[in-house]
Amino acid sequence: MQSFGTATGSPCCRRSAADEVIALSPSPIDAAALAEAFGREVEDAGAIATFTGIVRRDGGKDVEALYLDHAPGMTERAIRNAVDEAKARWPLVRVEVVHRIGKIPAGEAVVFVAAAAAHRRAAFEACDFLVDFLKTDAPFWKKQISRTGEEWIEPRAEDYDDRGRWR
Amino acid sequence: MVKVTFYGSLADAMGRERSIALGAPFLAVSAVIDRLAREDAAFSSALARTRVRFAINDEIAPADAIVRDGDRLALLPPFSGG
Repeated sequence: MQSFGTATGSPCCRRSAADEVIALSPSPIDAAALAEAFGREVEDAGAIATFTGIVRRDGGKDVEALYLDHAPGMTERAIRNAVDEAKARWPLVRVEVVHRIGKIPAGEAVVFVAAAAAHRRAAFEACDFLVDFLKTDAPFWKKQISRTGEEWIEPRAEDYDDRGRWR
Repeated sequence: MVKVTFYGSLADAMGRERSIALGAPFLAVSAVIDRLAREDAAFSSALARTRVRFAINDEIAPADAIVRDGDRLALLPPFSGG
């Protein structure tokens, strides 16, 4: 087992043998079904934290869809590195990241993240860490499609700040 | 030849991929980009509207990194996922 310090300098637990699922999906994802299946696969966890990101209509922009571009190979590898970091930083039982690619209509799920641990703090933080990573540091590119046209969009300043919490 | 792959807004301007002849044993990434910008106004315009990072053979690389014949060069606008 490998042990190494975290970015904060505090001693890190050993890399866990947590189960993991990492997937890019070109077809719609059913977050409720994924959460249920995730729960069935978990043994001996006191806490499961999940996150579902959904395409917003974004008020006045009347967004019809998002288009998610990605870099095959590079994107999966980046997510795997983030999952490995989460497993090294927190004592996790199971982790799952399922991210849509391609065109996603408003109202549909873009991403599902789940983390299971013995106690809630690790589950909450690992899930939060992975979502913040996906927002700014995973090779995806997001185009917003609305009645008025198409626009490639970048993370907000808040997204970069959130990501910075974990460094 | 070097296979150049474009993502996000750059792919809208350039398509997904182009193969380019370096015309030399190796070139800095910045020199490849400068040449593409000189040859293609749509690329120059797209480049001006965003920050770009680079990857050589799927590894993030700085603008002064060297590209050799047979390498794959990816042009990466700011990531935005989730």
